[in-house]
Amino acid sequence: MNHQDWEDTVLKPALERAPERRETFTTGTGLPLPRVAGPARPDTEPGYQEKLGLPGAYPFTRGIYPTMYRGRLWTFRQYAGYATAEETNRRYHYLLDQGTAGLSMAFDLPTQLGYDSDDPMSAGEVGKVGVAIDSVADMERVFAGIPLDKVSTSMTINATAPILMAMYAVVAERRGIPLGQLRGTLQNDILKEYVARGTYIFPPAPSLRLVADTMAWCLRETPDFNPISVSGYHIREAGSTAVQEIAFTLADAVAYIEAARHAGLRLEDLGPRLSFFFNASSDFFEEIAKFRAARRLYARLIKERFGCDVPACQMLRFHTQTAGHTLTAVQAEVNIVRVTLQALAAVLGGTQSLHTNAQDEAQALPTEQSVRLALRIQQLIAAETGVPDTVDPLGGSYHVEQLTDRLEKEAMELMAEIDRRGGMVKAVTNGWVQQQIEAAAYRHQCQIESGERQIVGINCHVEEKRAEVAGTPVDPSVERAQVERVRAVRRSRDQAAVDAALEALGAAALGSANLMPPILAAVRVEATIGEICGVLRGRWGLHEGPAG
Amino acid sequence: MSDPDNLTDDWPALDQRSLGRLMTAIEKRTTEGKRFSASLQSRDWPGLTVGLTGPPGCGKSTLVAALIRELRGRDKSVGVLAIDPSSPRTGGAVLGDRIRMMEAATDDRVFIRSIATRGHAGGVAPAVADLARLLRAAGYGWVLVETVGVGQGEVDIAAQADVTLVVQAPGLGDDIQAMKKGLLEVGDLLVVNKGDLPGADRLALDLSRWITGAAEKICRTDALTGEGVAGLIERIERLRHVPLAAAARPGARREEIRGHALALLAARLDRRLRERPLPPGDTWQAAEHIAAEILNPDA
Amino acid sequence: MNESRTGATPKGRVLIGKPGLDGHSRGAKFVAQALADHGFEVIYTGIRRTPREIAMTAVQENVDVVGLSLLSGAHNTLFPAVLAELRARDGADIPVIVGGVIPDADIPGLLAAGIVAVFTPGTPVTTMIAAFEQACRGRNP
Repeated sequence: MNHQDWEDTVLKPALERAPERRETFTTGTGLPLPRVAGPARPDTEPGYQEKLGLPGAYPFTRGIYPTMYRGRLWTFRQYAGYATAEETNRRYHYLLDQGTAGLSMAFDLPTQLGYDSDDPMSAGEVGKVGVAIDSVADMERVFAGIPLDKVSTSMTINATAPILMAMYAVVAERRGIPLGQLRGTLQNDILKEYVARGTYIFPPAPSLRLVADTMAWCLRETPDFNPISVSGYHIREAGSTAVQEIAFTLADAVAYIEAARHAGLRLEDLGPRLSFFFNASSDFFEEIAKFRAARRLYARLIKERFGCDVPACQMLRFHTQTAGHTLTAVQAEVNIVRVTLQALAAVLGGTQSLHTNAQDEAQALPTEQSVRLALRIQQLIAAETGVPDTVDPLGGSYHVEQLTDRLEKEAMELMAEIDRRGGMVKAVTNGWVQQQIEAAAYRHQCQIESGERQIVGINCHVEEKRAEVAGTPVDPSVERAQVERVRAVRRSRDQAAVDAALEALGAAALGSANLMPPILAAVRVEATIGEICGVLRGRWGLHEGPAG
Repeated sequence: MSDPDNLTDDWPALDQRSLGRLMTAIEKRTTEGKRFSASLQSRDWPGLTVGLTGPPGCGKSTLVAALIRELRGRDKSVGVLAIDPSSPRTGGAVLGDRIRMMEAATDDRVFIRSIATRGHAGGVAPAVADLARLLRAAGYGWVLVETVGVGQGEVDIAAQADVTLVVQAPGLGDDIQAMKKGLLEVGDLLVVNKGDLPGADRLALDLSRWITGAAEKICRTDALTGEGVAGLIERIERLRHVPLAAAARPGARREEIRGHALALLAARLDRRLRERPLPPGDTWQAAEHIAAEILNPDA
Repeated sequence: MNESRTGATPKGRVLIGKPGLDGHSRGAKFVAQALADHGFEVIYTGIRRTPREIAMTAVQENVDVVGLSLLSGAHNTLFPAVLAELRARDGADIPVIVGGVIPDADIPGLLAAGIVAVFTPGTPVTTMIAAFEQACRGRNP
């Protein structure tokens, strides 16, 4: 699209919808800043239109919106998830007061894996890595006093996503809030669990059905809730390369789109609600190029592979988190510097929202002070550096453009390899994807152990040999209290109604109708997450062990 | 441990801890271990040893898990020997086959042991036959031996097992001509696994065309769903009652010794090649020289 | 690591596994591979194993050492549970080495319960391998 068309059809409507943050933007000492810097004659510059184009227009290399952060800054979205619903609620009120715009929920492992807090499998795990949710009553406690129609809630939940979504919806229902006003994101990305994170329950086929059912329901009932966040973050954390992070994430997206279409959803309806989640690691320019390459590759995928020309479907909207695996236990203050540079790369790469890790986050749930400092990193980049005031400032850099091209090319080749192996679901089920990641992880770690890859504090500029691990002691009474709670819920509800709802769910699981309505019905009568998953485990079985 | 000569009555009473320790003694060929081996070799044991071989990616471990489940459903006790290659460079190994079997192995009537080849020239460690005997003596009537499926290992397992399954799966990039026909002929049953994948029909057809007698030997399974596994067990059981397939096969002991001898010679050859300089002359001369050294060390 | 060890017996047999519900296996896989590269036979049991499964495996495989990795904070429940399951199967003589996100304050309790060594994040792999070597030598003098 030429520059004039871009101004008329892309820029002008965007400015009408939302003006930029300021009338004019200048550098720190008063020089005017362009909206987007580019060649003097973009329409005749060879390759420019095709490979770069302008922000907000295909192939979106330079950004998915024409004004990017000049119009609206990225969302500052810091995770939280503490042992009890009450603590999580307190932390949410604190964050909202401090200026975050979105809430994130992290859940404990039993909740992620569909076990009630009093299940023998849950022993020792309740409330440790996030909040324990056994029934809708726990969800109500987490959001006590929080206006669900005014916040955006991102839930890091996968195998049990439909159940947690149902609980969130029922809380809204009980407060008389129309479902259409709910905003947020569900991670709901089961494929990466098999290769990177390990919190899967059922085998891939019924798991994909649950993903599709949840997406379909959200598109209909909660159109402002992103029903999936296709994630590369964890794949990178598991040790993949940047190329693998792009390729495996986009290949997962392809699998989900195909599953959705198989279930009768149209890409035109799903596309605008597909969101992504990437890692911001330490190699500064590779990361910036990675985000740009991913945008261009995704846009091409949607247009060429799926034949869809709707711009809203071609845009790669993503959240980013700075790389947890780069944090060191020794010299923890240095992590602040790492996170700052990683955050800067994400901003220069055009992320839509960002989580910056606290310096002590690798080892334990962070303190309030370190969380506040992590938030200040984003606030400082936004307020003081001028980086958000021009779109894709590194566009046109020889180095960044060459890296972008290279990453795109290699990611495309890797995706072609996956296709040759029968697609991502097969490649995940038979362990090939895992093997690729493991090999990359092993190489990376060997480089660190040998000193070839330098890490400050670990193999260069070393001070103390060992860091004290403070940890966040989780009060053992937390587990006991939660066990009591779920038992009390079971005692006080209408058991006959629960039995009927679970039976209906079991029957539905064997058929092909959308499972959200029977899950909602069970949640409304206070069925627990363990009971709901127990029914599904009985019908579908468990996925057996990591493949490969 | 107690006197091995008196152990013959006690084998079934051994707990898993003792069994595990015995296996180590046999593998390491300690003095005790050798005595146990001799005792185990001195008689036939009830039960059945099934060898499974096939290329990487054909789903052997998943098939073993499916067999365990099915056999436990029939109240059979199952022993599993899962063999993986040691690294020739480091002597170490990562043995991960049992992961896929662990959901199936939830009780004390399943015993799974991982075995590394420990440099026995790509083949099956000689101790495997004795370990299989031990498991049967201890009351694990079905012993499943899963091997790597490359090189000598495939032929060795056929010599040691009562029934040998050669497992294949479509889409692995092999074509029939490239596969070792000899191997396929050695198998008692040819299992086409992953029946849901495209190409399974084609593979079964090609196998029956290219390998003599293959058509009668083919079984179709889908180890992930369990389909075909009950039928496979029935076919295995039918084979054990065929006179030639029984453990009392004539020449079985000779075949077993031949396999061990070849493996020992190959190991010695490897060592010789690494430790000392090569003899002068062309490659054939040098090879004859080394062979003579190994066979007549005092000459 | 350059000399060939063809046909040599390994330095020892080690179980590496993750008890509990935590699925992050990168560290455990790295240690497993590093041990194999140093001449150990490693029985890798994967993620989400119960203490009972780990003990059954250790006994059937007659390992010299059990190595456990845990990042989810459930160590005070799960590590002692593995020790108890080993005891119940006559495997109390098998040393258990653990690693993961384990607060300093919890280490004395774990050692008192019978864990032989605790490694926290950032420990060089050479240190961990040396500990496994020492434990194996202790059992195969």
